[in-house]
Amino acid sequence: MVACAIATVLHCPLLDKDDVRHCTGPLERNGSLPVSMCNKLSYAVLWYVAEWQMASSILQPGVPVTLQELEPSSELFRQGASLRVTGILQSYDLSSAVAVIQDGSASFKVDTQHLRDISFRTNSTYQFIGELLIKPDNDAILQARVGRNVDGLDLNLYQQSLVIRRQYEAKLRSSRE
Amino acid sequence: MGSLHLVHIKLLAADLLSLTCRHTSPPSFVRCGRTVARVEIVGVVVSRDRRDKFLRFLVDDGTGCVPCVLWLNHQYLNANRSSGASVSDPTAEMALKMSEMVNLGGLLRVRGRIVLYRGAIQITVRDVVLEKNPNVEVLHWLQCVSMAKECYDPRPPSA
Repeated sequence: MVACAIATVLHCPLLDKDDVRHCTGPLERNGSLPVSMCNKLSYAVLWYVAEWQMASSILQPGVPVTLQELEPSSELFRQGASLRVTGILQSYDLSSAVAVIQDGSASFKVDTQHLRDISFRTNSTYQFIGELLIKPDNDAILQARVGRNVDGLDLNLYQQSLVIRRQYEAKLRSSRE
Repeated sequence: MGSLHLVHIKLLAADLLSLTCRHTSPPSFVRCGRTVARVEIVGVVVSRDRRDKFLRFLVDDGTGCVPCVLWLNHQYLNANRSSGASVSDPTAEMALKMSEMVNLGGLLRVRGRIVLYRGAIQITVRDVVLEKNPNVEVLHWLQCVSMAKECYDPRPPSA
């Protein structure tokens, strides 16, 4: 009941070991497998199914964007979008783990609470991949999954190359249609 | 030559993951009429799952996430082949060293063979390089675009 309610609220699929266990009924009845083995088998099948679902369905590529593009009118600015952002660290709040990065006149907030093994130094360049969380007032923050220091990255070259890469991706997409 | 199967070709993930699969045995992969067997990608590690016999990880280059598997099962294969004395296997040692380079957030260059696993394309890793200079990723993008235009896209002459 609880699992069912959680799955409904989160709009996620529900996998039930007993559904698998029902399928092992014939094996149990004809004596092929003892009850304990049927239970173990049911759990093993469930873990495999869950593991595969997790591995194949969750991660979307973090699409590289410039901070200037992260404004409400942009098509990239949407709830839950997986993005890759790059900028120079302006500030880092130790208690909230929120970093503010900047590129030219644009700045952007990044929630780094899930990151480990990364030390923050102001005026160093960082790159983060994560999901965009947009609050009701259009205030946005990237919930970072991974991050790294990219000191030495030529930001100008990066952005120019991004334009060329996008043109190529568009051509790829159109050739598939 | 209509085939690119002898070399590791540089591809963006979106390009790799959209290769046409021919259901031969083993499966083969085709891009613009040319067979592709080996690939080189550059991207950030966004998932890492270490098991006893292999390391599975995802490389995200911004156009797609490529599943990669690095086999670490040499000891089992060697155990079946040899009759006792444990001899250090350089291939196993190298694979183990490479597995230590695969960490979340790291920028990797991965080369390997394209395979089909559960209906999806994945790379069986041959080698992994941890890239320290962030500009190499940008260079890789441009090389992929340039190579596609100059080399991969032109249709091979028909036989």
